[in-house]
Parts: sequence; C-alpha cells; structure tokens
Amino acid sequence: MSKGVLLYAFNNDTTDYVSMAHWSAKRIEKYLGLPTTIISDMDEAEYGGVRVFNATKGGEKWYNASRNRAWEHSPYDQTLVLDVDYIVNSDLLGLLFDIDKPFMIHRYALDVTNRAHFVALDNFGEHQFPSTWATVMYFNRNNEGKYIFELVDMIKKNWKHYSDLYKFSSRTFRNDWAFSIAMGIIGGHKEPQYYHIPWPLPTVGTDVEIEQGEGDDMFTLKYITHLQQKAVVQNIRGLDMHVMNKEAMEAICAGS
Amino acid sequence: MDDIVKKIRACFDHEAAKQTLREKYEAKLLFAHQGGMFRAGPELIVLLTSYDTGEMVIPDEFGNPTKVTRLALLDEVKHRWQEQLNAWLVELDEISRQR
Repeated sequence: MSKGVLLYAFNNDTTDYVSMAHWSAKRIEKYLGLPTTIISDMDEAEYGGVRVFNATKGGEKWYNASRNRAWEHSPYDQTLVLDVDYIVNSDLLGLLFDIDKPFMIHRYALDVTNRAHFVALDNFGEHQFPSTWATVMYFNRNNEGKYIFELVDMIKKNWKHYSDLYKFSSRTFRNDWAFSIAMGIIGGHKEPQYYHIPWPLPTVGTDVEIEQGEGDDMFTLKYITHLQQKAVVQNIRGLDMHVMNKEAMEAICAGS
Repeated sequence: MDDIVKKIRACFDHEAAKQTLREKYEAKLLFAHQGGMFRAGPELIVLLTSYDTGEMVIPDEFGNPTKVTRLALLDEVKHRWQEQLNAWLVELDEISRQR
C-alpha cells in the first residue's frame, strides 16, 4: 500500500504558496517519512473567491477550490491532504495511516494562544451546522471516501443551492463547509463523529507573529492577550500547527 | 524606544503554554493497536489488569468493539503512558523556568 501527502499550492499576487509547499515537503519527509505530491499547475487551480488574511494587505485571490479532486489527483493508496500553511512538526499525523479509516478530518480547532479564537468557527450558517476543518484530511481508496469526494463535487457545482439551504453567503467557496455538508449527508444529517480526527487542529491566528526558534521543531509565538492587552511570548516545540498568518509563514519558509 | 518597551514588556504566557502542552500530550497518548485506536491512561490499564483472559473485546476511542490480546495491549499502554507523562513533565519543568 502506497502512502503519501498531497499539497495544493497556487500562487497569487500576494503569497508564494509554491515555496511554502516545497518547504513543507521537506518537513513531511523528515517527520513522517512520506513522499509528497505538489499540485501547482495553474490549469488545475480553481478560484474560490477573495479572502482577507491580513487586513493591511487587503484581500487575496484564493485558489483553493480544487480539493474535491484530491481523489483523482492523489497517486497514493493512503493519502493525507494538507494545507501548505500547516507546519508538520511531529510524527503525530502518522497515526492516521495506522487507523486507516476511509476518510478523516478535523472537527475542532485549538487556539494555541488559548484565547478561544475559533469557537465561532465550530459551526456555520444560520442553522449553526457543525463545521469541519479541511486543513488536514486523510482518505484511503475505500468507496466510502470516494462517495465523500463525489458529494463535495456535487455540492460545489450547486453551491448556491446549498448556501440557500444551509443559509450562508455563497460568495466564497469554502472547502470546510463543503466537506461538512458532504459528511452530514453521508451520516444521515447527524454529526458523523466516525470521520473526526480524535484531536483538535492546533491553530495560530492571523494576529500572531510566529518565528522559527532554536532548533527545527521550535517556534516562538508573539501576541497580545485579550483581557489585559499584554504582549506575551510562547515557545512551541514538537507540535504541528496551522498558521493563519501567511506573511509570517512565508518569512519562516524563506529563512530556513 | 517603543520597540524596546514592547520587548521589555513581553513575558512568557505560562497559562497558554501549559494548555498547549496538555493538548500536545493528550494527542500523543493515542495509538493504534490491532485495528483499533486507544488512549493510554489509568482507566485502560485498570480495565486490562482486572481481567485474566488472553483475549478480550473492548471499545476503542471511536466506540467500536475491538478484539485485543490483553497482555500485549497492557504492555503498550503502560509503556506509552509513562513515556509520554515523563516527556510532559520534562517540558513542563522547562516552561516553568521561562520568564
């Protein structure tokens, strides 16, 4: 059984996602011992809308809408799909290959700064439907996984219809929500815990400065606490992280 | 000058660091065994110790009944639990010294 990681990286006017992907591939090899396939050909890129990651830089065009094709893009029997702004910093994700379920995805994000930043993103739409995080996804070649990707494809083609049904804005295509709806359908419109990765997705918000510290697995976070408005520092070692501050992520990739 | 003031005022966020460490090691206590996924900890150790059969069926982390070889799983749970708790203690000690 072949195992590997699939990364999608499409550059836009502001962010060099391809360099991030190459940087990530080295870490994936180091910490997980797995090969990586990078999809960066703009012919495969699908526009997902404009998203703002840094208020001072304004919105950026977001080519993130190809993920429903991961089933066909992956050359592996067991595939891990990662965002390129996810820092692999431990061997933890290797466990997903051992569990080997047809499909797995994160249900909750963990705010590494402990400021409870992401609680509002646990659900989406006016009906507060449970949301998942497509930052990390695992699938094998079981038909059940295939059905999920086919459902996401169908949901994407009928995005306006689903936005009316679940009552959210259809302006931006969101992988997180498309996969959430697909799993809801597969699970008989109940929350299918069977597909959830059994630990939260460690996430660093857009307002957090992050730098690589001493040693390959050490990162230093700088941020302002909410209650006391105090500047604080936290050192993180050996913990994978989803970094939402793309500028800081680019600087880390360029510097190491 | 503003920059210097900011640097002087920045101190370690011990509470967040402790919480992050807890989450990190909670995840590291998970492991796959005989087709199921288990979390190393005292509950599982007590459960496995309280039986004397060679094989037994227990629910894994997803609630799926899983047939396991009792002593092999017990060995792995004990080893992983202590290994990860030791590593946790060492890191906790390190962060408590940061100012």
